[in-house]
Amino acid sequence: MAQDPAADVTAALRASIGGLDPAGADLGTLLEQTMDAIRSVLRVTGAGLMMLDEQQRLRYVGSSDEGGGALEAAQLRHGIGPGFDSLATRGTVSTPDITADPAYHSLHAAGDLNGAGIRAVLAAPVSVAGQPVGVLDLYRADARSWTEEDEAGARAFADVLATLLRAAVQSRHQDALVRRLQLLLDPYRSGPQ
Amino acid sequence: MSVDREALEASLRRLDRLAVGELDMAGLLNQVVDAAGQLFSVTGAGLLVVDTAHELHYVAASDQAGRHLEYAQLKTGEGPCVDAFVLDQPVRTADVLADDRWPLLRAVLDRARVRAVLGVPVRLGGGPVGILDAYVDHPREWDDDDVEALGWYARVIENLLAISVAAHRSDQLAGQLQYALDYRVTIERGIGFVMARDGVDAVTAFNRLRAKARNSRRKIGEVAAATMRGEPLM
Repeated sequence: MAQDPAADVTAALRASIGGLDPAGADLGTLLEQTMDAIRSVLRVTGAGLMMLDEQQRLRYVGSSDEGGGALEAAQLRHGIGPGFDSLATRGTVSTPDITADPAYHSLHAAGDLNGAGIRAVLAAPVSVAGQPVGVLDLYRADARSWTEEDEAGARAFADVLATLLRAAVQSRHQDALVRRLQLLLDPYRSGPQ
Repeated sequence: MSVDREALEASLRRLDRLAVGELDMAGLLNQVVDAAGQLFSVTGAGLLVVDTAHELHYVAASDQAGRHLEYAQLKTGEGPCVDAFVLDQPVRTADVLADDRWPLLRAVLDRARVRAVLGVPVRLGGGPVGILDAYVDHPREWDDDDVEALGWYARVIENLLAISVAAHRSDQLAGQLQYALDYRVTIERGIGFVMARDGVDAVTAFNRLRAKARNSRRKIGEVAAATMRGEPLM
């Protein structure tokens, strides 16, 4: 096996990824798979992701299951929830039982979460380049307090999501540059006429 | 559950306006590997990725001991990560210093802080392209839940690699196109020079320059400039 004595990680990485097949590198699919990974690694019942759009409105982007989708939909419908609070405070926000938490009374009073199997909720903000861009919500089907380890895990995965998004944006910038260059070269690309 | 792609696209358009900086995949992978240390309550983690010659390379590690583990495996050609890559399945050891499977590695790691190691394949395009490993600084058994969880995290690494590959290809293409744009005047003049000198049409002249570039392993702009200075084409 080869050794990389110069520890030139960037060169090694270029040597590695140059030969790989990026088939399936669709961000939507990648986010779906990451949400599944979150559920398994953090051992929660489900997870959801909301992100800010160009008008600074929070929107549902994805979830690991129907429960995650229901949690995000309920928060968006009423404009309140741990996800909103997490984004506003730029920190993790949790509740051991959202169905009994007076802070989110209107959520469960309206019945949006009835039968969804959502009790404990933990939200962590997702930030890119120092800016809040969304929120990761985790939930459990049983009512219980979240530990410091749970919160650290949520923050770690929020950072992972941010890393994926950042890579995707940088990739988009590269694609946009390629398109601009192709347009500039258009009269020349097919060779001389 | 499916992703709302319209909402995702709207979010990405907002992100497009942020100054996210240059693509630094090594840095991004380091962040993700670093996070593994927190997520799995292990001492550290590391990542090896294969190159076009199918040789494994060190890419990232959460700490010095993790780097030492990766380099030791690359140097000796053996270890739980090497086996996991070759076998394309998770490989675990409760104590690498007491495990008879890798005597050479054991000798090199003798004073290291690495004891229990779990390696899982990272796959792209249907096959293993690297290994994600986690280690602990004391002997410990890995259960099936640990293996499954690290396997899921390897999927996250795969996602990041997939985006990296796509971005790398765009980066290469952008470089090629930028070169073509910068040298188009020289190339056009070179074509005109060959047309006038050899009495051929534009397509023939272009093909002659391109063939010379390919045969001499130079860029066509360099060949066009050299031809106008008197270098023979054939």
